[in-house]
Amino acid sequence: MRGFLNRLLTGGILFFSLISASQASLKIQEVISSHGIKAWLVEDHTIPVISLRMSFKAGASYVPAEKAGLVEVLSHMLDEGAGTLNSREFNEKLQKLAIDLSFECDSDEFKIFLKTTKNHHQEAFDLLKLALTQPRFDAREFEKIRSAIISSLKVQEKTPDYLVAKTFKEVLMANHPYGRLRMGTEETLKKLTPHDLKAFVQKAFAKDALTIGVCGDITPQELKKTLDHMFGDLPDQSSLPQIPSFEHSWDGETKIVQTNFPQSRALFVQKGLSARDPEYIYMVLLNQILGGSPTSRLFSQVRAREGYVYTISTSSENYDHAYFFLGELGSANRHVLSALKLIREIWSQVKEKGVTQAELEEAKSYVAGSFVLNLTSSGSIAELIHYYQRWGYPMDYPQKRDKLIKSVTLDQLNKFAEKFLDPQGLSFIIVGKPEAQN
Amino acid sequence: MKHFNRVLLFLALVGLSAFSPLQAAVYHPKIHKLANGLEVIVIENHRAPLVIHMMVFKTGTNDSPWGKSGLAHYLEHLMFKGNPSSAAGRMMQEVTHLGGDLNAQTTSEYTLYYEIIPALHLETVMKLDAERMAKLEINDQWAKPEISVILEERHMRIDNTVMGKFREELDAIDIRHHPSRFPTIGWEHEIKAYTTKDAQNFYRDWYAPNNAFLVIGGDIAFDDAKKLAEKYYGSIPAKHLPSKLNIKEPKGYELPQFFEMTSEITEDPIYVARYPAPTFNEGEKKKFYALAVLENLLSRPVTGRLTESLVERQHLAVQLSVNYTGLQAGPGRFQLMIAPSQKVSLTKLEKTLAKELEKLVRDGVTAEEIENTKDYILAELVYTQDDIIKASQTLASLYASGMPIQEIESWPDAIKAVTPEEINQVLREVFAHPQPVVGRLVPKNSKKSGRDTK
Repeated sequence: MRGFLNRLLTGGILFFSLISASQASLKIQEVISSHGIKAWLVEDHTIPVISLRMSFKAGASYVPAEKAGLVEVLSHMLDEGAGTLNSREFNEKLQKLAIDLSFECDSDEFKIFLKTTKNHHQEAFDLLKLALTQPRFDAREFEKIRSAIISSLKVQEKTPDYLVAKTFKEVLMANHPYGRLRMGTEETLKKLTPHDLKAFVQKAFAKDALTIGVCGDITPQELKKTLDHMFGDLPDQSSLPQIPSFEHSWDGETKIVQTNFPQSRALFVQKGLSARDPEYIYMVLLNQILGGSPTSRLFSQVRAREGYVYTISTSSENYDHAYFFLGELGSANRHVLSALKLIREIWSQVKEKGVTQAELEEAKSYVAGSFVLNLTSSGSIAELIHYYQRWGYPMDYPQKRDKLIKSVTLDQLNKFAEKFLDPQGLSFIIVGKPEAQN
Repeated sequence: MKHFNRVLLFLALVGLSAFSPLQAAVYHPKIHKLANGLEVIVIENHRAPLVIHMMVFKTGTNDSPWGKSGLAHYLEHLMFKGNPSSAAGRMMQEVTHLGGDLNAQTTSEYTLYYEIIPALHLETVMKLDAERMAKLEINDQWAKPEISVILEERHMRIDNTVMGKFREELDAIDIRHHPSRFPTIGWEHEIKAYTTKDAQNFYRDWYAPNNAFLVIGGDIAFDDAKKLAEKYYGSIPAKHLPSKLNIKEPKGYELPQFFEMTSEITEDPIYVARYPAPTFNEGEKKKFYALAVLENLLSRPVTGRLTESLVERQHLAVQLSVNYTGLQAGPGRFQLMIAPSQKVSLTKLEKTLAKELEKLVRDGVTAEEIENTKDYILAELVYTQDDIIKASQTLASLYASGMPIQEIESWPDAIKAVTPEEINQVLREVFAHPQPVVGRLVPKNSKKSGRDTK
């Protein structure tokens, strides 16, 4: 189970604090099956476990507004019975064989997580294939899931984090499919039918929409066979509509959602940068200096010096077609406006005066060193190489990244900061009851 | 069916789940005890060049002085504050510089600090941690502003969330005497009253090598870890520790207690029943393992007894969880928490649940149910070595909660040994003479939501 709010806020991906000296050990291989299905693999035979992280380009934004929530429902329905197995039988099998299989979606992707022991990998791959190609969508289970989502939605709707995320989508991405809520609304959910799921699956689950990262106890030859077995029967091409391009249009505004919470939650956001952009590495470093760490400017001034907040951080939120640089905080109602004012000031300071050499060195050191934090389990490695593929990184990126980071100069970074940071364009969303201070 | 978020929001606050997957000789920890009493526990895992360094002090909010609830958590924050020349003041910056991650956690019984770092930097981190264990300068300049940070943390975790408040109230009613009735973060008015002196005293009294243990997991040889630990922690003198207040909770209520909280910010009711239950630390090992199996047998996804009946078959609930807290010093609880389906009244749900429990107590559970449950629990064990961070954290929290290392390592055997008779006995003990505390969270305007909540 992964937190809903994380998922909602990370329509794309959160920052990635990557890479260092030890990635020489991370050897990525490309595997292409006889049906032309591609995957990246990190072989590791030290422990008899295999983790797969897969996705179809078929996230929550790929359905029309009146079907909002469809993909979310689908992500809960795929382990509710397939082929001759009903929900109970399907789950009993997973439980008995210790297979972890789960599904999720964000705005762009329908995600699949599979973890299995070497012993039972064949059964695991069979069950995934069955779920993808012969899902049952039994009416009983459909009702059960739908009402659970509606019920969960009703609880979420009253939480500050949900309200922030929802307002973010409504305000910044109005009139774009990304503005649709992943869980939909009670109204849209009530109109969905099992048939909608079937129709979507037929269009969405296709070979050309797949991205696959694998780590663990499996050879390239075995993986090739596995890929054909699991995905060989899928249609070659997805027939979902394309997501239109996105225009960033909300600049420097403040939206307040009045609630009675004792604490305000706020989000500050400006236009971001695609992870495919050659300058992305500058943004990674700048993020680190501004709000990516406990020693960042925001943390040390807004939390440590002023005590306005408990949490404050910045990150990049990337969708396939929309990029944001944003931060979040929780602050007392009487402090939130001062906190936001201070943030805008820090934005201006960094834009105008730049960062210091010491700050840059610190950021480089962290960003380089923290690569190993991605290597804590086979699942986290599968996740990493999935991410690389999604954003078009080269296969030898782990070996190159240290050098790339080291090569960034203070002059380059400050020029980038001057161009990129937009104190006037920084927009605020506040959920709470902010009080003006003199 | 996946779990939905609302219960997890709740569970996350309930504290340590009694249950974590282990197996006979599960983690293969190696242990070395320093002369000053500090235990060093090493779990070697050489898959990736990283280590987790985790210092656990065996003190938590239960040890906060009367009138200063949550003081242990305040001190946890102060362990990262101080003059830039001090270890506490440098900690965040140094670990970040190394590319590491760090954080800390306060529970009712222990306070844990960890850093995850590239393996070659273990020594640097150890040096810092040793320094702040030996000496922490707490003064107004650093301590005062942190109080408002903690107030904001409290607002975020408790006051801004329905479940946070519901749980806080329920704890205070359910547990009448033991200090675990207090919120881990502290009551707001008492947080505001913390003084610098309070924090200094708490640190002086409880932060000592003989009141701590260290877990190091990852890419490090035991002998090297041992040498480094001797070098940095070995010279810190042991302290004479205050004796812990040995407060015992009185027997459960004679009659069931009902607590109802209405809230404007919820539309769906929640039902919680907490039954007093025996704990590991009371010496009820057999019962502890039987209850751990029972917890799972009743509530695992889709196939658990109550899940199958109330969620899957009768559609009376959208979500159900059972949580046994039997591994802590305070009173043990066996908790059922249920979110009813739309248009299902709490009354109807309670009646059906009562029937299910009656049947359980009367007829017991089947041997097959038990075997399937054990398989399910033991199945996850194979993944223990796949995630060194999780493994180290699980071991640390079990050990800190009072489970000896040998016991942790033989956990799977203890699970396998649970018999149907033992389960049926704890079923009778927990449910047959019910004195539960029942909590209901109901929408303020339940007419509007078209539901009968009574």
